[in-house]
Amino acid sequence: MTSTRLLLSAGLDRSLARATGGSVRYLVAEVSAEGAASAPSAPLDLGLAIDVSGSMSGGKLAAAQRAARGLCAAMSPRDRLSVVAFDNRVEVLLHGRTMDDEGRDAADRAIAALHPRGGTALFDGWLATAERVARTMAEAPDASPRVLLLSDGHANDGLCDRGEIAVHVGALLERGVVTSTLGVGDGYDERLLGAMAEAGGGSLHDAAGGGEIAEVIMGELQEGRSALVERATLRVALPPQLRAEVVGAFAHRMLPGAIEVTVGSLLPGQSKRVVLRLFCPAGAPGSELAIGLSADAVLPAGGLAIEARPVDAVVRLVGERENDLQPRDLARCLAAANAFQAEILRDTMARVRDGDHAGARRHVERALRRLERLARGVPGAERLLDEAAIVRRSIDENWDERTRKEAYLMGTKFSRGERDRRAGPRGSLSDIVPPRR
Amino acid sequence: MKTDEDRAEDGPTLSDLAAASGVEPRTIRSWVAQGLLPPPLVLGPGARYPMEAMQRLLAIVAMREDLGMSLSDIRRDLLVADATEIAAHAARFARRRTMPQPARARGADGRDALDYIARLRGGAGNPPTARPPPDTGLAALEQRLGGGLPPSARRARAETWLRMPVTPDVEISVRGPLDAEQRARLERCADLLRDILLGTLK
Repeated sequence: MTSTRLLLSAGLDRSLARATGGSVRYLVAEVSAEGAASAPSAPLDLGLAIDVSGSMSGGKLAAAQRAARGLCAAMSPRDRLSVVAFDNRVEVLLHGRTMDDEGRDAADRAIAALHPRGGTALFDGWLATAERVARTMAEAPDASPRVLLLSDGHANDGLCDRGEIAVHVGALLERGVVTSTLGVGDGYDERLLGAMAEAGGGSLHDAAGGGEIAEVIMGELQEGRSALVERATLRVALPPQLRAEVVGAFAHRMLPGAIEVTVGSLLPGQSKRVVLRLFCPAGAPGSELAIGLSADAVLPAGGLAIEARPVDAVVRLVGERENDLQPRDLARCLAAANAFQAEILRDTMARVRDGDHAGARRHVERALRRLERLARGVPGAERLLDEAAIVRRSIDENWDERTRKEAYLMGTKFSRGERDRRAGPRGSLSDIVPPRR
Repeated sequence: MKTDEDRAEDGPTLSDLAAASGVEPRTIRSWVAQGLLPPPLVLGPGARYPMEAMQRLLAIVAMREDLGMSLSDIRRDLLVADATEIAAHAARFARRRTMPQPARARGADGRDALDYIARLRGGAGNPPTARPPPDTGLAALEQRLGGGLPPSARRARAETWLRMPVTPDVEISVRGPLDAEQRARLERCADLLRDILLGTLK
């Protein structure tokens, strides 16, 4: 029997909605795990996919090599490692070697042989690594299978479509393989790597320079070791007339009558908060819209499935006056505002990246008005509004790649409740936005 | 021969149903209102439900959590399910509470990771099990709130829904398409439901 438990709670910012329709409500679900800290961690079945395209020359590849060697040294003889190099072709350098002395020597030799080459067949590199991990998984089913993909560029060879790549990453997660991504430098495609990590149940990491690569890789190793559960999934069953969408940075699937959200791994003390925006329909006063929530996950050791106790949330349709007089759940309002602000940040950065500054400005202005309504009178929300206002004021400034990536990452990490694995301190959003001209 | 009142004394209470299933009482009441569960035989405090309500409730929970079915899909299936099928679903609930489940190392199509990759490499018309997230987030919110309503997800999927009024406050919604025989069966269900709700069941 396992002592690990999966916990789920949920509630609404406001539980009443106008019977005439048009109300927007926020459903806040929290998923966490608790278990004995002394439980032995599962061995790792880790696959490292390393981008060796030409752009990795000039120190980035050397830093990745140093980090990979450090990773080998930190892995235990119970762990297995696969290493795959990819540019416009894919080379399997190490397949599922146990990290005993002999395995470490073999891994060191394979890592030393990496050198920068041509284009970036990112999907093929990921797929080959996932295949190595899956083969090892078949041999050692008690290990925790993970892929960590390092890249400094954009997919420009083979399958390049972000949505389609994320579909395949999600399909492999469904079959047990977790994927995290590490963007190196300032030129990587954060939307692609972010989408892969969200669909893959892992984390998006960023490393601006050489030293940070090692910090993040070691952090990922630590995360793999200490995860209480993996592949946590939240399922939200909705009545037919209620529309909903996920706010923030979680991959999800729209199923008939339900939304399935990939929550990913959960560490001790970590709670992941998923916010859904509900578009309430018109209906008879007094009628109720019952939303059912359930969650499941698997244990890293042995892959046993565990479930959280299902919970429900109910929106009741009422008259105008009763709706206007209802109290708000301030903690959930703040949680929804947090997710909303992170969404604004990510969407704005995506537009700025595409050079659509005017569209980004219109977007953020409209969103800010809605965020103000949601956050009005909510203690702790002033900072969110201030930061969103700073982003609005700075839209037309020169957002360099590094600044944009920091802002995007901040929005992602914040909305997913994840830790930044880099050791160097990062300031708040107001510290990183470009100064006004 | 037992009367309704006699039977009511044997049936489970709302608390019994909640304790056995882990479902909140207000959710159970909501499911009763939605026609998923039979109403209590006798109203008032300590009301008791028909005996079959327990099995039906456990079946609903198992269908929702094990099979990922929506309430509307469950309602549709239960409309045509016989007692054996409902018992089979309820038995799944009992199993899932007592046995650790194996990891979901296979997708909904029954393929494991290696099968999936092999199929992908083989270009065998790989059917993705997930679709890219739809256009959500701010863009969707703005479209919805700022006018220019996009086609609803339901219309976008070209789904047909049959809405069958039962009483002024209750209707049956079934995701179609349905053939004539299925429609006729549903109409009989609606008639029966109407009689139950209005107390005209003979």
